[in-house]
Amino acid sequence: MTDDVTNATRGASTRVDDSADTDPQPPGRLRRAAERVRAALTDTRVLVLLLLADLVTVLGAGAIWLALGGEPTVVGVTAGALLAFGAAMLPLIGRRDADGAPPLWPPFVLVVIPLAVLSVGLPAWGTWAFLDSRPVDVTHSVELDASPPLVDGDTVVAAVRTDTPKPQLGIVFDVAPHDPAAPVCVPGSELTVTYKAGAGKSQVQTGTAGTEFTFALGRGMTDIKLSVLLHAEQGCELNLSVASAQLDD
Amino acid sequence: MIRDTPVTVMTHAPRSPRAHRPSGHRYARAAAAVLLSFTAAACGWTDEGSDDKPLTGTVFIGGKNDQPGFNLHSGHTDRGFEVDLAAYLGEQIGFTPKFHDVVSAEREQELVGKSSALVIATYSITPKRDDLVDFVGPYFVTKQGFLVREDYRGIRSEKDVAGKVVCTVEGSTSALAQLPGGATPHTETDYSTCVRKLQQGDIDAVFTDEALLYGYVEQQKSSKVPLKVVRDVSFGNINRYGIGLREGRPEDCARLREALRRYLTEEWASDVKAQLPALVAAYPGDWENRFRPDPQDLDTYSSCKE
Repeated sequence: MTDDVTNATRGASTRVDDSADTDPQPPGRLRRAAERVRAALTDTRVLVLLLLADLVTVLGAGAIWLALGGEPTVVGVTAGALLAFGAAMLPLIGRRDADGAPPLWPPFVLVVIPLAVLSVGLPAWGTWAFLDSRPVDVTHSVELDASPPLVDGDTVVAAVRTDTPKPQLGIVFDVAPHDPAAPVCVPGSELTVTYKAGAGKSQVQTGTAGTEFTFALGRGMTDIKLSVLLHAEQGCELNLSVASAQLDD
Repeated sequence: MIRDTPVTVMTHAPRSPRAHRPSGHRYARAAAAVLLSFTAAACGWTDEGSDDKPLTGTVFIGGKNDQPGFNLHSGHTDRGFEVDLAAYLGEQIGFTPKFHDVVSAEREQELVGKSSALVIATYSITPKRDDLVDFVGPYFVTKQGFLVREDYRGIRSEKDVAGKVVCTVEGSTSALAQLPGGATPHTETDYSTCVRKLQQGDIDAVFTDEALLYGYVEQQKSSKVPLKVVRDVSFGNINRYGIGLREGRPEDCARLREALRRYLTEEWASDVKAQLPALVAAYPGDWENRFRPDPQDLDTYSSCKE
């Protein structure tokens, strides 16, 4: 391909200097196509913008693909191959004939590659950093190991498994009457929530339903278990559920 | 049915306005009015106090008529803790209470159907009822226990309840309580019938709120078959009595709540001592802790929050 390009370039030079050369070589197909494009894009800035838009689209698609769960290796290899393809086209840009004919595309076009990387990379990094700093909602990941109704003295284990560990868990429990026809007793109920991490000291908190219990988990904790002890009035039967649960920094 | 007897016996100095019922001594003069009242009640409408007007003038209150200690209609006399409470609220808010008979199972309909503006009828606050009507309360807190004949020794602990015939009232929260397996529930429309069957030996015990049971203990203490409440044997939930009113009356709700808050500190204890002496005697020095709500509970359990 390099030879073809070289020949094409020479052909172009020959064609430009047609008046002085009595034995011109026919231009290559690629050269002719490129010249047609150049003729259409007389303004270099339009070409640069088109290239930039193309690269931004490619890199942006890769970033979104990655964010949506694409395999990082596949995404990386694909993006790298596209960039390598672009790099392989560089000779088209910088090559200049010995007779001083202007290059097919000016070196200014080179700017679009880092510009595209930056214009996609910086927002992507910013977005990632913002999302990573936000709490992770694990409300629907919490599993309670008890079946209602619960009465005074019952203990329930609340288990959370997450792939995005964070050092702190905030959890809010909801308590509702098991039988709405029975006398009201929810306001008189309390929960004692205990978190014990390995051999570490237990963290114990007591509060009413609706209270946010916050526990320091430590780093990299993907399996979290809480013990929830119910305090209720005599005869009070309740249903326990998780109103919200978030992992946070 | 609106009661047609006029006298209300209260435990302290008469209040103005006081709880009263339409005159029964003036049958001849008021025959037409009484007939109209019956017709009005039968048709589900009343003259005043039961529509959407504020609590002024004559206010119909749905109440029991067979619960000694709380609201007993006997002869030409109404007396009981809830009669005193209604009189206090009327005095504080500025209305004249007029009781209208209601049974446990029809208390929501009494309000929703606008037969009465309020219900003060040992009416336990429950989430289900709270969906239909509003509550102001509690004004009384009580566990549930067993009433037996004084010479009865068949129930001494919770496990003894198994195998016994126990009477409760339909529509009450006691009917929902989980009695021990083997106990035979027997349901009546009112507690007076349960008590009569207990004294006749047809059943072993009456199961309902302890506070109500002590009213019957006091009432029957001089009868041929006196009664007692089994100590330290209790099932079911703690009941909190509230004043029922129709939904969507936040101003009345707030006025009742604040008047009730004052009542709990000013009059509650003296009224209980006067109307429920058997309860006071059963828990000397401790009855207020057991049965009186904390005034702050009004903000927790009332439908209208402060």
